[in-house]
Amino acid sequence: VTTVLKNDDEEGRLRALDRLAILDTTAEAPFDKIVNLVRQVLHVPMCAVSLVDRNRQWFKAQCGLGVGETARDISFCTHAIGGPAPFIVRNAVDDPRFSGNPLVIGTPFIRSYAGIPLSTRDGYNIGTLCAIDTKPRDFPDSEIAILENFAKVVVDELELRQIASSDHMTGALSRRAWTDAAQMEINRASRYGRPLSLAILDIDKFKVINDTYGHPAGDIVIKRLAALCMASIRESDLFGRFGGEEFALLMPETNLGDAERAIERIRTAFAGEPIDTGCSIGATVSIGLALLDVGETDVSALIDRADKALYQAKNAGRNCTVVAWPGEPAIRQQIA
Amino acid sequence: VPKIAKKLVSQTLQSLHGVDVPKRLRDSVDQYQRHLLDLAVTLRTSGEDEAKVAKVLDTVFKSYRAELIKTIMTLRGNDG
Repeated sequence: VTTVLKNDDEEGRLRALDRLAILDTTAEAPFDKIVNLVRQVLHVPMCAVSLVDRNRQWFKAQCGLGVGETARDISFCTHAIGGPAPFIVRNAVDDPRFSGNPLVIGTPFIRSYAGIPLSTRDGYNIGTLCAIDTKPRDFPDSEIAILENFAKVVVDELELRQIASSDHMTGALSRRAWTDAAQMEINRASRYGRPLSLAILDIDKFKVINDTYGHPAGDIVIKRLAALCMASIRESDLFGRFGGEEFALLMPETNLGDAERAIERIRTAFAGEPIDTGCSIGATVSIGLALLDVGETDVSALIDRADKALYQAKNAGRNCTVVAWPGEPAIRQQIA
Repeated sequence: VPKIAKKLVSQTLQSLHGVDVPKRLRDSVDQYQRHLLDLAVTLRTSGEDEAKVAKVLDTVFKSYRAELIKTIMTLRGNDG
């Protein structure tokens, strides 16, 4: 299967990187071992698994570089992810693109570089596996072939982690992966006093849908809500499937008013268009919404308040959003 | 070269026997095995001896296997 490389879609590339949920994670043995093997086999002093973020390159693993990340605008890897082929610099001092680069004229004094793009199955180059030397040198075809195959193994490792963190049916994060990522966002929001909202969504009368139209139709309804949510959310939002017909949407940097508007758009869009499952099904969703309280640091407490609001939404007749205001879970409803 | 590489990969993958790989992961594991074979072939082609290639494969695979087992457990947890 040939994958078409999406070189021009930088936002899509960043979302693909985001979906891997690998940035700023701790060191892991598989990647550390690979960079050390590359160093031994290619006889280079430096090697890295570099992931190219919006404004930086971040190293999932590195040896010999001595830093965890660098600015993107000075990174060699930014050039390497621009195409499908290996990117090779034989002598950076003689290359006008790099001769004045701080990584060339200063530590770690890069002279030669070979970077293999790490390409996802959906065609995005999210980073590189790169071998770096402090001496000018060639990288013969045999070495590039080895580096390419190590790069494939790196991508396999990344994809293995992604499979574990995503819900197979919808592509949303699994509950565990969502909870881990949500806790990190809550820690950050709590530390810096930033707003953060959580919505829990539950498809109304889902058992009736399953019993009436069958489980395959029920799955289509679940997929429809998930697709609608994923098309509506921002890159920074976290969307996860909690199980069955229940989903969670964490919205960092979002106060209750903005969150309510965003979630209402999803609710009304879902209710507004019948779903074609072979039959035309009109489905609705109830939503509980809560804001991170001042000093709150526990994801489960926030989930609990959003859950209570969801329960009230169900009791209020479904197809509505109930907001749990900080402190007392006072109710405001928006009924279609 | 491919024959020796295949033998080395086969030896490396022995510890995968008996691991019940869920259907959802099979493509990924099959692809990984192909990539391991490609790696073995290129290492042999570049002149690395059998012992060195076996050591590289073993190092790479040991940590992959550990991650694979963790992933299988996670998927069972997610599904169950």
